[in-house]
Amino acid sequence: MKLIKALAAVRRILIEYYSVFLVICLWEIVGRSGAINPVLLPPFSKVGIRFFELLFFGQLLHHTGQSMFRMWIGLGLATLVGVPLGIVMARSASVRSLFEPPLTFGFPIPKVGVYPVLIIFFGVLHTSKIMLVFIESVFPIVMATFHGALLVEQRLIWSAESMGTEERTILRKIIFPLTLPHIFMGFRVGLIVSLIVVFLSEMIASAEGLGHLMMSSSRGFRSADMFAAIAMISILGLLFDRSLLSLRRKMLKWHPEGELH
Amino acid sequence: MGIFPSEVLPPFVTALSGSMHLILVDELPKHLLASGYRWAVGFSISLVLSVPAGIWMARSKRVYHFLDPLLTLTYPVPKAAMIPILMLWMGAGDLSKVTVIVIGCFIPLVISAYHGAQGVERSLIWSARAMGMGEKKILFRIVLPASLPAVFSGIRMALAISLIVVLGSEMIARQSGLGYYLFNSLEMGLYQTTYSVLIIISGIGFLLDRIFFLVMKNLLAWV
Repeated sequence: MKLIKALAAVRRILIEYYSVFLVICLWEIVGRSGAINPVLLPPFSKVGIRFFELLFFGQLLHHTGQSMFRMWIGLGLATLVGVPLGIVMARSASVRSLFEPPLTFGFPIPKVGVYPVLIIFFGVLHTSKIMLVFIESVFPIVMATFHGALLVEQRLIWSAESMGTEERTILRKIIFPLTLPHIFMGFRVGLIVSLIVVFLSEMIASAEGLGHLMMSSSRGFRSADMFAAIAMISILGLLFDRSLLSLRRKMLKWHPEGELH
Repeated sequence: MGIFPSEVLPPFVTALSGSMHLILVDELPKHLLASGYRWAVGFSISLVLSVPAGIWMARSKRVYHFLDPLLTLTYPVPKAAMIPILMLWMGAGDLSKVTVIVIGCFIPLVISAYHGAQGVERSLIWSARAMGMGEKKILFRIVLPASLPAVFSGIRMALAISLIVVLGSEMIARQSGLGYYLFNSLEMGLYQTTYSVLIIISGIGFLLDRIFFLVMKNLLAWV
């Protein structure tokens, strides 16, 4: 019975994701056929083997750790700063008038442009990259939180106030939970841009990290290594995004948006 | 004030007058043109490809089943990571830089166009069909306008990504463009120029956002 069930599951996955397998097969065939120089496109199986080689005997894990350290410190700081700031901005007019103009002005600016200036101040090591991730991801998080907190129905706050609820409790029990869907939305955008930016900054100037691994293997025409690094980046992106969505489903069970994905 | 030496952090006014100088006299227009050209070509190709693809996905089950798994798998993958591969395939010139912009913008645009076209009320299409409207006309008069609001939210995301990618790719493979100019001035120690270029880039980002809102307001006046 178990075997039949497992086979049925495999069959379902094969049918559902047939296009993915099709692309992989095509890649393997083209890579093996010799129509394209294998330096340009190493076959899928070779990349897979190289991935595990680098993972267990090479530097892949080390570089991944470096990139992830930079990204998560930056993104974590952005969340710690962005969420409270967004909520306070929605609650207090004076804070809002102080922060809203620079935020709306800064939002559409491509923050990679700041990277050279960050290098001037913080050097080419961790700090400048963490700062870049922070700057890039704090904007979507603040703005989403702010707009979400503005949408909280004023009636709910008034009735809580009239029943003598303290400001802190209102923030914790009413505004924060109702803003949570928007915070998740902003965090997801922040996650995506911080992934882009951390690898970009490592490609531009670094001696460590997945972005550096890719650039150095590209310059040395070790294309299997380069594809292995991209595979790692893809797996990480997919993993974070999926976990974020499932976390959101769990935390927003009570909310109609929690069922969306 | 002397906390930072003025070479490291020039006063804003100095940097601003520096940007004016760059715009009017120096070689900036050349780089501005190079970046702008790549950005415009990449962004428009992506737009032209992705909106029909998204609408097609919403209209045909078979296309949806083919594209959806590929899109969900590649959505969270930072496409900027493709730059070294594309450079290997197409060289470090314009082609690889334009291609990475096309790829980077494609997915948010497709997904938003799909959601827009998917959300079109069935009854609208049915009543149009009942009144004898052809399929082509339905597509252009009903499905496309009705999915525009969603498409615009995708465009905003794509706009942000494309600007990151165009500057980033120029900083990686340095030949011409604003990203190159920015980094070159850093490496030559011309910090004042770095700030001036940064001000110009910020202005462009802000301007593009304003233009976006203006176009959106005009096109979506009926919503």
